[in-house]
Amino acid sequence: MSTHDITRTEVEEFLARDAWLLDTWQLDAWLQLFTPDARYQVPSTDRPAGDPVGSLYLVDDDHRQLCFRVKRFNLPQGHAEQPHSVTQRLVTNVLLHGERDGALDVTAAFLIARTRHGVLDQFVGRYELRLMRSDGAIRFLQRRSVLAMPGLRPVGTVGIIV
Amino acid sequence: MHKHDPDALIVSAPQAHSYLVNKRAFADPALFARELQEIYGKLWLYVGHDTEIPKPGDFVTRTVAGRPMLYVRGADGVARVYLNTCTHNGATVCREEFGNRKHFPCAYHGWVFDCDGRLVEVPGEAAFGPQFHKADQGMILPPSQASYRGFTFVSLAKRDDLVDYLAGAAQYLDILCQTSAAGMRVLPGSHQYATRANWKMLPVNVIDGNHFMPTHVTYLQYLRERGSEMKEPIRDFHEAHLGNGHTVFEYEAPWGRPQGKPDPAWSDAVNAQILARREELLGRLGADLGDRIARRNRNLVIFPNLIINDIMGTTIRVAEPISVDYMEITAWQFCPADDPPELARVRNEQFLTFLGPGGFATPDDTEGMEASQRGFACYREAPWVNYSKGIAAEMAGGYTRPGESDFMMRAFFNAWQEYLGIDRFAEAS
Repeated sequence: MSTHDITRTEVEEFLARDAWLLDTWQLDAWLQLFTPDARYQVPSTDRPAGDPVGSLYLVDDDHRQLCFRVKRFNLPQGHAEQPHSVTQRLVTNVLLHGERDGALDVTAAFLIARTRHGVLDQFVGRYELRLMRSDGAIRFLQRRSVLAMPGLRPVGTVGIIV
Repeated sequence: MHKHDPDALIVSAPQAHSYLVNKRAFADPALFARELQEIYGKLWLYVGHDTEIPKPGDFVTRTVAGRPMLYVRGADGVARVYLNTCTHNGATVCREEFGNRKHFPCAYHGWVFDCDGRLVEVPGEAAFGPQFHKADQGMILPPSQASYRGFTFVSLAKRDDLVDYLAGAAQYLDILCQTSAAGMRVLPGSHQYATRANWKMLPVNVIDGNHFMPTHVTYLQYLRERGSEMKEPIRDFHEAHLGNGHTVFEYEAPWGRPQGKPDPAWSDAVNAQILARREELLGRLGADLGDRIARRNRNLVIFPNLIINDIMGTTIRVAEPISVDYMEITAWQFCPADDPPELARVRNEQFLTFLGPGGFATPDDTEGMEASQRGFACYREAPWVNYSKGIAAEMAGGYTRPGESDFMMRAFFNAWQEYLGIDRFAEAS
C-alpha cells in the first residue's frame, strides 16, 4: 500500500471524481472512495486547526457515521435535503505534500455553489486530505474540509457534504 | 371557524380549548423593532461563560443585541464585559474573536486600553489640553452586567436583579453545574450558523415537544442502527414555566447520556466510565439529585434567547435577532472539565450528530423553521399559528404527556406579550 507512486494526475482525477459523484448524487459510489478507517471532518470555523477531541468540530464522522449520513440523503424524512440541493463543485490549487505515516498529504481549494429553495449559497474552503492506495484504487484516509467562511452564517447549516 | 381580531397578537380562549398566535408576530418589521426596544433593550441577555476566559488577559468578542462587546478577564482576575467601542472615535478596539492580551490598541488612532478597561496611552495626549484625564476615558461598561454560576449576562437597561430575573431557571443552572465534581467548562470552538427565520422560532423549536417525532425520525433511526436500546418510551416527563417566560422540560430518554447513563452502542470501557460518573454523582449529591443528573435530560429556555439543552450532549445556544426573518445562532459545548479522551469522543459524537448544524437533526429543524417563515408571508390571509395542544387536558385537570402539549409555547408567548406591553398590532408602529 505504498503511496509514493501516486501521481498528480491521479490525484486530480480522483478529486474531480469525488466532486462529480457528489454533484450527481451517486452517493453509494462516492462512499467507495473511503477506506474503512477514514474520517470525514469539518472543523469549526473559529478553530480550523483544532483537534476533534479537545475542540468543537462541525462534522467528525467515522465510517459508520458517514454511511448513515449518505443513507439519510435518500430517506424521505431526511428533511434538510428533501428535495436534494443542486450543487456544482469547483476543485483547484491541488498540491501534493509528500508521504507521512503511509498516506499522501494533499491540499486543494474548493468552491461549492448550492441552490436550494431558489437561493444560491456558496461554500468555500480548502481540503486537507490524506490519500492512500487500497485494493488497487486511491482512497481517502482523511477528507477534512476547512471552511474559509464567517461560520455558516451566510449559508445557514451544512446539510450537504462539503 | 370563528372570526378573530386580525390585529390581535394572541387570541387565547381556554374555554374553547384554543390559543392562537398571530403569524404577523414573526413577519412584521415594525413589531420586530418594538421587540428590540422592549425585550432586547431591557431584559438580561447572555454574553458568555467565564470558563471561556480562565486566565488574566483572556478575552472573547461577542455581538449582543447588535452591540459589539468584549468579554475579558482583568489583571485582577475579574471577568468583565465592555462595550467594544473606542472612547475616542468609536472604532471596535478589539478586532479578534478570542485570544489573550494585556493591552488592546485601537487600530484607528492608537489609543491603548488595558485588560482592566483603563485607557493607558493616548498619542498626542498633551494636545487635548489640561482638562483631559485618561482616567475618565476608560472602556465603557454596558448599563448592567452580572453572572450566575459563571453564566454572564448584560442588560442595556439599568437593573441589578439577575437572580430574580432568572427565577426558577437558576436552580437548573445549579443542577447543570454540579454534573462533574471537577467542574464544567465551555469546550474551545463554537458553531456559528444561522436560520432564515424569526428569532422566536429557535426557543419555540426547543420547547416544542410536538416536532420531535416528525422532524427527527432519521435521528432515531441513526440511534437504532448504531445499537442504542430504543424500546423504552420517554419517561419521568415534567414540564414547567419557571417564571418570566423561562421554561424547562425534563425527562428520561431511551438513549444514553455521557453525563451518567450508559448506552449499548458504546464500548464497555466508555460505559464503565459513565457508570463511574453515575456512582460519583450519587455519592456526592445523594440518590435523588445524583440520579436526576445522571439519567434525565433537561431542555431549558431562558427568555428571550438563551437555550441550554442538557440532553445527549450539553449545549449553550443563543439566537441573535438580525432582522425580522433572519437570526444568527451561536452554540457552544458545555462539558465536564475532566472527561478522559475516549469519553470525550463519545460526548462529541452525541453533540455533533444531534445538536450540530452539520449533524443528523439540526439541519432538519432549520428546514422546518425556514419553511414556517416562508409560510408566514400569508399572515394576512391565514393569520394564526395554533398552539392549542393540551389545553383540553389542562382544563379537565389532567396531565399531558410528552409531545401532547403546547403549554411551554403558551408560557413563552404570554411572557412575550407582557414584555412588549401591547396586545394589538395597531399599537406596534
